[in-house]
Amino acid sequence: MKYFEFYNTTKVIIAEDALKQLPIELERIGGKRALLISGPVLTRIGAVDRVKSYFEGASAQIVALFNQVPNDSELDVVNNIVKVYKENDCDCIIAAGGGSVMDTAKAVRLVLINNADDIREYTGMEMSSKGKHVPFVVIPTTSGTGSEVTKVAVITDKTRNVKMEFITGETLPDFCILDPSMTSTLPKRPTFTTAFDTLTHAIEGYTGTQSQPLTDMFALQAIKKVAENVETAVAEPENVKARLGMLEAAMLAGISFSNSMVGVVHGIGHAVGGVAHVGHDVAMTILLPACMEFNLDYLEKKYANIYFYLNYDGYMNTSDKDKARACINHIRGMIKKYHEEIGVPMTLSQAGVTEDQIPAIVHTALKDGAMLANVKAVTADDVEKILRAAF
Amino acid sequence: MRKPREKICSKFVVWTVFKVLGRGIKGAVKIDSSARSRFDEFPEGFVFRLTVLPKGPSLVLKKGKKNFKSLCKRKAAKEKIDLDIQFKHLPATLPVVLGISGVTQAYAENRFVMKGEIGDSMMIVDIMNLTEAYLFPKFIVSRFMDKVPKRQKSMLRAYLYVLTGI
Repeated sequence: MKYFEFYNTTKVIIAEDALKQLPIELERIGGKRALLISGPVLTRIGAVDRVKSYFEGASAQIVALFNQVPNDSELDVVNNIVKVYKENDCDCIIAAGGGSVMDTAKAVRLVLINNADDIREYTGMEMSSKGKHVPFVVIPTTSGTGSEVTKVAVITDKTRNVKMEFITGETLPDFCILDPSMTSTLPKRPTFTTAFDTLTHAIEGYTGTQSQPLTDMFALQAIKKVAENVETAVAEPENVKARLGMLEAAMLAGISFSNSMVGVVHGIGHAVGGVAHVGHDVAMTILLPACMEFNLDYLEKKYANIYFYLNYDGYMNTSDKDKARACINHIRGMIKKYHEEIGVPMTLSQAGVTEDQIPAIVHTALKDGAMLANVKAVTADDVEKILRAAF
Repeated sequence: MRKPREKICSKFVVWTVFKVLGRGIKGAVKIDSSARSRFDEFPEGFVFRLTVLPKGPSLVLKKGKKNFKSLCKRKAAKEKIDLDIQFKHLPATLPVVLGISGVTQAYAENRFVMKGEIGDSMMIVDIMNLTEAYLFPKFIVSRFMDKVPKRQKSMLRAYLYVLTGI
């Protein structure tokens, strides 16, 4: 009998205007004096003020704000936020933002619950103790990373030029609020590419070495939600139903891959991001079809199943032996459509990667833990072939 | 509940395999350029530990100028461990040491916790896979490794190092 583990303790609150639940839910878990963590862009577009507005008249209050989280979560920023938290005598954390804001807030929480001097002591897998409880809530403003429900945080240590991974249940928020008003301002192109980040999470969660019945369930539903909502979310950014659908998809995919991990798409994608500074969602979009081609001989049956959820009509009109290939072609078709309509990069060169960067990307990709969970072993030659196929 | 004699036997098996693995890793670094290139990625003084919770057995290796050095319990206690892979208990370790499953499968089944950089662990896993390719015949290794790394030298050469240090 196969052994597997499944862990997720985050309460998910999802609805139009779900933000109104924020103060009462925060109080319920012991939060009274909140530190709100966010980024400069979100402040500029009014997302931070929107969150603050829900605290008028509430007994829980936001007493401190840190809104300068950069695009990549950094160790120095984490340490600065911890100082702000302590100086303002805060007792809980609210993170409103994308992956970088959420990962930064997760790292802050790890420092606080362990009363750590150096968070680097907790790098790795399951290294944190439960420690003292620090109430923690996340409000995603993109529907892609799924970080609101994952037990992973990645923080860059610029002094050593290393991305530190913290894989531990203590990074999971107590609850997350998925409110479509927080993602409605996301422009068309990132709406599509973050949807592909979600799709990649779901596909890799479903097809990796750690996939199991529970994570499969979440992954396949996530794929279905992406298929049902991505077109409308891109075409009609203010469409509440579509935005809600994409938030659900990201959350479902997040729960899946948090437990079953990701694979070669992320292994190479992280390296492309690190070496060539391509956005994570863009890297996932470009690499997904090429990596699926690589894994095809191991995953024919699973890709056929994915096709059922991704394109039911296509699935029913395709012979069994062609379904897996049709799935990959369908995904390629989606990218091509939005490349033509809104300029989504289809190749690594279009995203700014140069050929001389390939050796460094290969070298970095092989050190990425995601490669371990890929169903097919990946060598340096394989990575190079995939990169050139996607170039 | 495991009987005491069974536990002692399991502990002895793991201890023995760790000893062989340690020598095997050093042998692989000496004779195989792929293992050597992974070895070269680590800074000098890098300390890696493979252990079984709660109290061992353990394998501790420290990078020297030309190869890893094994550290005994006493010396290991004085070192800061850069990469610490801790199997949760003996039953979690046995399938890996007996060649029934590999490190990749152990990772998939959450059989160990790990302290340190993921990138370092990937290099160590590569070295361990290369070592196992030298220590076990292909028909055993292919049961738990998707792609068996190619040996640059013979198994005999690897065992010569394991047995004699040459």
